[in-house]
Amino acid sequence: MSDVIEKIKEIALEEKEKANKLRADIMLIADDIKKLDISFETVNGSVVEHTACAIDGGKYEFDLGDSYLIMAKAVSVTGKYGEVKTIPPTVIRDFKIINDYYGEDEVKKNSISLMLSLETSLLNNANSDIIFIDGPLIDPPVYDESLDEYFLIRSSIVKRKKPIGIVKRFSHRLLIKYLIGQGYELTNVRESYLVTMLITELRKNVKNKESVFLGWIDWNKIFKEGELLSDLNSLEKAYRKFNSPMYSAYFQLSAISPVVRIDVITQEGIEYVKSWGIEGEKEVTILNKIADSLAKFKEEEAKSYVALFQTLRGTDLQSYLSKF
Amino acid sequence: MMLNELVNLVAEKRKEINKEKIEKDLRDILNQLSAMRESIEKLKEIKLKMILCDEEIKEIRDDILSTSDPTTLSKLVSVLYTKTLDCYNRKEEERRKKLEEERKKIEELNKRLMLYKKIFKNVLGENIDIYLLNDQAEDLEREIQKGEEQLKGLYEKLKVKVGDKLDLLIQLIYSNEIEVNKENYSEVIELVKFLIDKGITISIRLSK
Repeated sequence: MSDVIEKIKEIALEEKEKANKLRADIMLIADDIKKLDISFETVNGSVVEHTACAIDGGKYEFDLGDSYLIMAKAVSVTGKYGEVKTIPPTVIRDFKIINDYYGEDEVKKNSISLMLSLETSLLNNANSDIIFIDGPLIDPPVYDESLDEYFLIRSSIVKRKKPIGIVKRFSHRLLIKYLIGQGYELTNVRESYLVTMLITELRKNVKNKESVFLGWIDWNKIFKEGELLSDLNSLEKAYRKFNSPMYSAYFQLSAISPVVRIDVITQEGIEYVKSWGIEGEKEVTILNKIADSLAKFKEEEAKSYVALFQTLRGTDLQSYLSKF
Repeated sequence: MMLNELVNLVAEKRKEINKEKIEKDLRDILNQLSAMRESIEKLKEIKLKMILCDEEIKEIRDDILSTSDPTTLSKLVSVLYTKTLDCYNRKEEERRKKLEEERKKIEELNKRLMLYKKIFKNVLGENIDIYLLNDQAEDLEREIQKGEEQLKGLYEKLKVKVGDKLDLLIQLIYSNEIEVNKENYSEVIELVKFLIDKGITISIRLSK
């Protein structure tokens, strides 16, 4: 038992040392930030009257025994800036049967694809001045041949509509790759940890309520220069296939709000994220928050689709309808 | 004893009783009791603080232990109370000042450590690990000692790589400018040459 305690103590001390060293690296980067070609700024620009919408998607997989029923939906929520007005959201749904001999991973992959196709379709029909989407613009951020056609379509829509991707859970080490290229030693650190710590350090001279951003990271430079980090290999393939300029910045609405990654194809739009922002929410904008809650499949909703499917499959429509 | 004798005796005794004196004695006892109660409260309040000031209150504490007169006792407790609080506040202030000085020292040491890290990274192109000092550590003196040892080691390493120009370079990186005069100009030129050789751009500004 004492051996275990000693081992844990040793690991804890090692981690403490690592965190201490990393803190010094982050302080140095913060001190050098003006010398780098990414900038840390407060978001001050104002916006004119405009319409904006947020697009989000949800999915649900149900094990039918011999196969899976996958359900996906996408939601678009629109708002007019400066006006309190309720505009009915657009919701589209799709369903698919996948045989379970492909395995659970394949089923999940299929349901994500179905959901993303719906989201992309809503994006294609969106006609707001500003379009926010939940997640990265290159989504999924991996490439395989089966996605060729989807990438071609999504890329062309993204180039036309110029949406702003809001990435809540970011792990690809884009900033780390950039900083390593500038001579900093940052191995074994997570992007989200580094970004949050760095923004906290940079925020020391900024008022808590101010919105800040750190960017822009040019994906072309990231993938062109130096040795790639292992987690970026698949993303690079997807980026090349997507064939569009891509820039990312890290954004924090206020000191109590989470840091998110913003993906765009032209270096603009941050002030719109700020203008729709609500403090402390991981979805960042009010439109994304509403779209997120509408896009989630509630268990009851999913089960009623399953019941309908099972009844129809059993050609027992009458017994299904008798429930209502 | 006959009843009338008894009545006379009671009447006689009643004459002898000094009512005012009894009332005064009673008041005194009550006052003493109240003073003792107050003393107990004071002692409770300073119980822990007395440990810190053991030496300074030793004499009066002995006086208290050798007294049994309640009035003297409560007076002595009042003196003990004031002395202990004075001593405690003074010691607390000294502790606070020391802590403040140690934290300031740690801040300075951390600044210097960062400065050395910066020289390694931005001038020599080397990444070094440094241990930043924790101003919330339990033993700040030990933390300061660790920092000073670390700084000494880094300084020596830098001295080997930069040479005699090191102090001037530290001054330049620290304040972002140095004044050039007759005494130091050859050293400055040497430093400028060194920095340019390292690919660092130097700008010169005339102050007059």
